[in-house]
Amino acid sequence: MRRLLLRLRNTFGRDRQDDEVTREITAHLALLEDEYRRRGMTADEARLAARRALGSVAHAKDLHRDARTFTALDDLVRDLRYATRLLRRDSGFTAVAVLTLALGIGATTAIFSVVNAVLMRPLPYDQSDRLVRIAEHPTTSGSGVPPAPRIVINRLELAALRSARTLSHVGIYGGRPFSMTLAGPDGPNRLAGERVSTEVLSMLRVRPLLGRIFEPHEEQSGSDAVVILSYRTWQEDFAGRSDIVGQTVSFDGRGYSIVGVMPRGFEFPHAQAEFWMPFPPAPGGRPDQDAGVSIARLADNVAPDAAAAEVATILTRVRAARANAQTAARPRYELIQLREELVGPIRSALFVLAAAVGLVLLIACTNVASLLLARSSVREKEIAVRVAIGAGRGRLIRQALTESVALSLAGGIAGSVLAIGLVQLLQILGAVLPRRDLYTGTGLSIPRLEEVGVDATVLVFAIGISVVTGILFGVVPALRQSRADSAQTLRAGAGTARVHSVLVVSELAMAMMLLVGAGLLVHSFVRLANVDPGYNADGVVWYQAFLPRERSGVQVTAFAEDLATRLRSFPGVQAVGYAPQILTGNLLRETSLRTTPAPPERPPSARTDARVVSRDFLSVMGVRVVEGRGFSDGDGAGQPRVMLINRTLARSGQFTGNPIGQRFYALGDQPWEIVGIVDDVHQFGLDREPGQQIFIDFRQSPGAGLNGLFFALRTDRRPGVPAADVRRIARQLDPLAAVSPVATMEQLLSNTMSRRRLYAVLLGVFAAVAVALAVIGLYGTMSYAVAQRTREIGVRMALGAPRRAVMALVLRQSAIIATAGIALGLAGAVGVTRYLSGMLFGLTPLDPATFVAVAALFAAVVALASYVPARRAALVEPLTALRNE
Amino acid sequence: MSDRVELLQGTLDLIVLRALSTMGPQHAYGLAARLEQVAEHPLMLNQGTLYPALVRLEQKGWIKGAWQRTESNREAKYYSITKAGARALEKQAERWRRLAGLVDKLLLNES
Repeated sequence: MRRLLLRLRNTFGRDRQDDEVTREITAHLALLEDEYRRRGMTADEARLAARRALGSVAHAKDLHRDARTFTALDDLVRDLRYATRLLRRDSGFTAVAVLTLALGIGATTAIFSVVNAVLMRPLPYDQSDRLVRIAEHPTTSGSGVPPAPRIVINRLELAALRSARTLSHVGIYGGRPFSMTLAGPDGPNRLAGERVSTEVLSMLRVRPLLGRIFEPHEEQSGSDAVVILSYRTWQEDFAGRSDIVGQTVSFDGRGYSIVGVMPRGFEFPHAQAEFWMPFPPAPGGRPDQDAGVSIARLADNVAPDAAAAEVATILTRVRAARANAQTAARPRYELIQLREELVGPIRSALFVLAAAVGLVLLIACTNVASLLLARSSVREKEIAVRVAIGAGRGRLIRQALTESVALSLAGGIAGSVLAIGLVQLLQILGAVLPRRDLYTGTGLSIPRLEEVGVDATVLVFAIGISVVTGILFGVVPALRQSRADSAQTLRAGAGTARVHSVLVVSELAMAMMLLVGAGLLVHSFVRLANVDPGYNADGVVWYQAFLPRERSGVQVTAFAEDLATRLRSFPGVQAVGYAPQILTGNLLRETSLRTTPAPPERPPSARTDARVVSRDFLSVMGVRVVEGRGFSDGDGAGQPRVMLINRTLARSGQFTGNPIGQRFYALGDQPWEIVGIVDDVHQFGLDREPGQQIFIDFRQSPGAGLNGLFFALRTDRRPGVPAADVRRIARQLDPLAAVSPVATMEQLLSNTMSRRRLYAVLLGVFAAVAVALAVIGLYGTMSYAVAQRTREIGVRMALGAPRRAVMALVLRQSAIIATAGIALGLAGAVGVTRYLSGMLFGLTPLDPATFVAVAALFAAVVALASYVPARRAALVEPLTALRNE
Repeated sequence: MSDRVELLQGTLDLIVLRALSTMGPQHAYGLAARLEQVAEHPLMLNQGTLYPALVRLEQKGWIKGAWQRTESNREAKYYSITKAGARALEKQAERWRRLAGLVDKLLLNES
């Protein structure tokens, strides 16, 4: 043990020890010299003889050191010192190599940090892998994309499932946008919240910061006037008062007793939830139509399969008890992990991104490998000397690898810094509007993106990948270098050139593949952005206003009309419309067109979305009337009921002849006459087909209780109307009105494209880096080849070869490499682009136009990169070239 | 290499310890000279190889080195045997004798 410590100390405190040895050996030599002089030698002879007798001083020292320390460790320290000295001396090479590696490692680390946060980190609940949803896969008739599973269960099913032995808890929550107006000290404040059945909070196993969670009896109507606040609301609306529990607050004009405050960071089911209330059955509602989103926790020591089987048995029994015998179609039930539901849709995209950065990293490695190769030919002499004085092959390889790992660690450090920047860029690019109730479809770019960061796990990954990278790109040059054992191999540059060409071809091929992938994504994004949304988003700003629940339909209509009129008089505001929901967004009401007042026995196969809008709403949004007319002043309350239908519905085959003038039952118990057909609106995002829609004038809408309204202001100025002004006017009309700015229509539109934009930009950046690296690699290789062949070129020119021929000579060489690279890359792309198919819009993964355009672009860049060295070759002066030898 | 007499692993340690125990403190050069003397024919080991042995022994705590002046007023590191060294010498010498005897016997029987 003592020796071990001593050796360890010796490994690091080497300088002092070396001095000691030198001193001892010098003393030894001096004594020997004395002896030889005594025997009659001259001073010089004596010194030489003494050295011979002792052997080489350096060798003696080495022997001494080998005994003193762990050789391997010692060598490592020595190699590292040597490597850093060398890299510092060769600062140009080092800078290029470190930068290249930083790009590769940085991109890889950034994507890994996303994978880490999204795929690997569990949800912030205790044993969150035991939390599941109950999903029902409808039996599909016919082919086509299967519809998304339903994750909603009704109260009958909930009651039955509570007896399941394989589930420790089962509950439901609202799942739909839910908000209420809190009568706060600073005026009414509209807050988003969630209604949860009692089991939900207890199955999440999050302890409240203050107070308690709900008790089972609070789930009955009448005893449900209790609320739990979020940490943020407690802090901002109640100044963090410690005596908050037990206080009564007013939500939508009704008093609620605060029973608890949840801890900071509790974001269920989303980050905007500011309060939680019990979820009692709807008063007077039928239990089989009163439903909520399911959530359950598996009982301890129960296999998910067993639970799924029991759930399926129970639900099938419930279904059989009330369904008519005809509906024999039996749905399939499944338990989906809560986290899986979140990350499932982007798993394949993350896989594609990870593969893309992997390629970038490989290209970076290849590039540095060929740089090292080129440099090793410069260092031939040094290597030859090392071999001559007895360095073994293993020793040489180790030294070379130490150098490359040192290089890649430097690259890794720079790359980590780069990764931090990249993650921030990613968060900006992937940012979506916080109000998730306002958009649908592929809006969410990457779930949990805000949790992505460069943490310890990510840094460990960065270091690990740096070491692997260092070995990866160092091993080929190291093997070649170490073979430099005879003068013959030193002379034969041909082998090195061949390795170079192979490296460059593979680099070009990989860059080509990335470029094809990026091309496909960018192309489909351009297509998407060019889709006509069916409305005009320019300059439209949204506000949301809420009135207390007790306001009657007439009062709400009057308020809305007055507010619209007042807002219209603002400078810069051209038109104002309003509706209970924004133009794009989730279905609020489903209906079907019928010839009888009674609802159909079975819901129709295609959903029809019913939207209630103000008279001017559609014209404010720029939705075109393609046939018939829009709403007019004559369509007010008490007038004949009219509706508009969209083009998709008009073409759905439900009508015989021209739909205009026909009457149908839809909402309520009166028929509606179709007076016009409007253009389709891509309400679920540009990448989704528009659904069937009907529009009804707000004034004729049968349903009251529409006390939350969205106002669309078409403005000619981007800043629009200050929110404070809108709030002031609204309060003049109704002192209890809560007003909040929402977003511009452009933001909402851009939001629906954010995921695709993120993918296109990311892959585009990766491809650009890859192409730049590959082109630098090609350029470097060709320049090196020209430099090596300067003499040959000189001879050729001296013998009368025209400059053109010399240029052709070089260009031919790079053309062979480039063609091979592009061909291989295209072949590879054909093989792998099908993994992109889920991320494409309006293109097949083998879109010929993209392939051709990308290949042409790449060829042009490559041609440019080979032209410069070729030109340099052509400018070689024969005399200078020959004289130089 | 082939014409050199390879010292068996460990024997150099034994020789050095023995030399130090009979001659008292010595510097490396003195030890080398002594070995040359004993070996009768020109040195079988490169004098440089003494150093690893000296370090090894010093690390084991069997010898101790100290800088002193020689008679010719040169500075040199004098090594002396420690108590542990003396004990080790006894043990090693015994082991060596047994081994040597065994090898001798084997060689005689085979020939």
